[in-house]
Amino acid sequence: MQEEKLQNGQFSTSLLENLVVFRREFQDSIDFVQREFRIGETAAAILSIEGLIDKRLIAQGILKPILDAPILQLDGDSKLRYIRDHALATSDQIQVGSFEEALDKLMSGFAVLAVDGCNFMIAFGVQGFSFRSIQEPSNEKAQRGSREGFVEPLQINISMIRRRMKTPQLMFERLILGSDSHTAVALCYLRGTVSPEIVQRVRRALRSAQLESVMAAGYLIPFLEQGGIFSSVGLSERPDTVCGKISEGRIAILVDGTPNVLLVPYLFTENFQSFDDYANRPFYAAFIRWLKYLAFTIAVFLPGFFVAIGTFHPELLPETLLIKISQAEASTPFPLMAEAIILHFMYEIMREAGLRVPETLTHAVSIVGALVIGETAVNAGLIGGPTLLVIAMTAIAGYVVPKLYEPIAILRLLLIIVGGILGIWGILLCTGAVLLNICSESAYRVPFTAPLSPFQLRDMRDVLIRASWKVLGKDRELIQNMPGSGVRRGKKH
Amino acid sequence: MRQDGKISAGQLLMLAFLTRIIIMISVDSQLAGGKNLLDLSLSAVCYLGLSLVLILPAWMLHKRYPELDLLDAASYGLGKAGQITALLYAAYFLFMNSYFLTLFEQFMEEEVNPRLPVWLVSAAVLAVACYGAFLGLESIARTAGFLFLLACAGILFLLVSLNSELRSENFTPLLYDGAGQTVQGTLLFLSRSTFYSVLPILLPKTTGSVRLKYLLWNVGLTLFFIVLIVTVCGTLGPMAGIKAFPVYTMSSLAQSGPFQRLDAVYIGIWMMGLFLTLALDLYLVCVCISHVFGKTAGRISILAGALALVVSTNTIFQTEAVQLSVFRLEFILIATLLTGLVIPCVILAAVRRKGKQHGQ
Repeated sequence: MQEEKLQNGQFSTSLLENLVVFRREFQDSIDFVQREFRIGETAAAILSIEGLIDKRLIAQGILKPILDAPILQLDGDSKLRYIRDHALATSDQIQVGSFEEALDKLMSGFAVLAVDGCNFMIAFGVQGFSFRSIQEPSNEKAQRGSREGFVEPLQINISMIRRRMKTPQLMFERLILGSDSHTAVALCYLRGTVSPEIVQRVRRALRSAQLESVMAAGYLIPFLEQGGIFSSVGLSERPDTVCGKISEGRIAILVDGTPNVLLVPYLFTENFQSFDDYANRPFYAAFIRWLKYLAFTIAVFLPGFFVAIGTFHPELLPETLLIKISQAEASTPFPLMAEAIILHFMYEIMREAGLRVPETLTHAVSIVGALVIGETAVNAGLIGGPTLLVIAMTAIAGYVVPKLYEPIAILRLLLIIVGGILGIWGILLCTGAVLLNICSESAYRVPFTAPLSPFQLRDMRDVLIRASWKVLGKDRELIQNMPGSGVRRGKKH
Repeated sequence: MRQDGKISAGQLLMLAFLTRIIIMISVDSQLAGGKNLLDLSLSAVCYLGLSLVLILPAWMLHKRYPELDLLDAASYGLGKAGQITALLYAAYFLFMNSYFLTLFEQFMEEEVNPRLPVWLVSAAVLAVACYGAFLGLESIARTAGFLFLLACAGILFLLVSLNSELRSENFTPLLYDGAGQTVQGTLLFLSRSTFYSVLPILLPKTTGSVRLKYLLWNVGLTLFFIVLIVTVCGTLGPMAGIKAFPVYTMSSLAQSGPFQRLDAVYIGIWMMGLFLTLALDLYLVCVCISHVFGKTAGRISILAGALALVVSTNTIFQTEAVQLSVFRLEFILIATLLTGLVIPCVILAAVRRKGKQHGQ
């Protein structure tokens, strides 16, 4: 009977047998701590994982009250019940009934109390691991707004959202993903605002993630999107941004151990929005938004057009500009396309190096980059000045829309190649193919290109311009109400 | 296919605009049988009247059976013989695509003279069109939304930059050489309009009211075309009558700021319109073939159709005699009227008769 229970993953009433199972699970792992002691005549043990718990809290908050409790005459089962209901009634404690539950709690920084003669255990929340303090996220800085960014522990991230949205409608759902990592993932949404259909789809998509470990939020992105050049899953490290999105009917996915929160559904136009847009004055926010659209266009198309026009259609350029470019290019050994590709790769190499080297070396990298590429290559006649200028301009423009850096870098390279082979026809066709790709994407049935195509004039108040909060605040736009979404409408405030 | 849902009436008309834009910007007076290009503005007005009549069979069929497209209605009304309709439409779409692609190749070869083989550009256009057809109607329609804006902005930019080049002495009186060119121009426009054959298949896949939007769209497009013709004639004068692609010649004269000539804008508009038209038509070929042979065959037909187009277009393009015999105005006109007017009327009659037999 006892053996059958153990095989089913349930506790035995024998402490020894239970401890054997735990030891078998952890083998000789050095971080598994098993502290055995006696409560009167009854054997007991406290199990924990070193590094995840606060030892002082166990000693003072658990062991001391247990040993001081007047329970010497009781049997094992009654002792544990007394501890649960009287001695440690105020502690953060959960009764666990199976090995699976107990192991999950141990891994989450709980201490588990096992008493001989009992077929259940009690897990105490005694987490005591260290983590990075709350700082402003370096990738998403805002001039006006909170300086708080998400950190790695899930519970703290949850509290940061809860502090900003003090409504019982705010819902957190817990999922465990990763067969080895058992990573806690939280689905966060606003009941009554979000479309239940979208929640259901996201839940299903996450459950379909058959992964051994989930080490970062990015591991889950492929399960949440259709897959295209541009991602239909947003990422944010700012609690205020996430709260704003949640209030528009989106779902936030928080992954334990990472400060990046995933946002679904996420549309193409949202890549051009930032928190500052909503904190700044509308006319300036609208100006900045148009600046971003322009920067995106320059970052993607400028090198491609430069190569195409320089190689195939020089007649399009004004005479003086044409002479300057041809003079500069006449002395270089490479064709325009090769030059642009080399410079593009050089820039990407420098960028990667700048990201990966220790902070003390970044200056050295930039000096070497600027001197070698900016000065020597041009002076030696290896690279043309205009090409260098174009690539530098596009690199700077790319940083104006940091959320789109990855697709921009790839598209830029693609357009240089296509422009160099097929000229302006190639650029146009490539643009057509990219447009088709973007237009084919749907984020949980909401067209990725909405509200631009299918067009919705009303939504232009937060796309072409950024209307005042007097207008935006009056009638909140919910994601499921986007044109062509085909999703049931949620409550509109 | 990624998406094969419904599109809005606005999206349908934007698609139609982009297919029509090829007709508008590739117009020439030689094919229209005269030298006074300005007469084509009258042809546009005549065509407007005809287009309101031509939509009627498709519209009546849709009104009576809103869930049935032409292919379903043909199968319902004509039984097994109805399946031939699907094959006929697939052949028509491929034929017209071949025509449009040959026209584009002709333009590239004669006017642009690129430093790369023309067949390569055509093959690239078809590759992108195939991708679009594979992605489905919704993707094509959404893309049309963006391209519509770009095309409108491009044409507007051209017209505005040419404003200073307009000369009143370049205009000749309307119908100076008689009404022959106006009639021929109307028939030319009519023959190149695939929209009336597309409409009975796409109307059941469209949401929202098409009627009023269609009327406004037609009037707007006619006005747009008249403005284009007037600008071409006012800018080029008598040269407009002898040029193979006068709108292109006009755009190469345009200057704006630092840019010397704006023919790249013209090429861009044509290319965007062309690849989207090809994508839509290949998608429709897929729908037609799927209707007869099933979905897998439908998907294969996209690739097979594109390959057939590459081969046929280049064969036709290289042989002028074949070009003249295959792409004769009368031949294209008959094909367009057959698929846009006659067959929908026959199917409508057959469906009505069948409906009466079943007491509907």
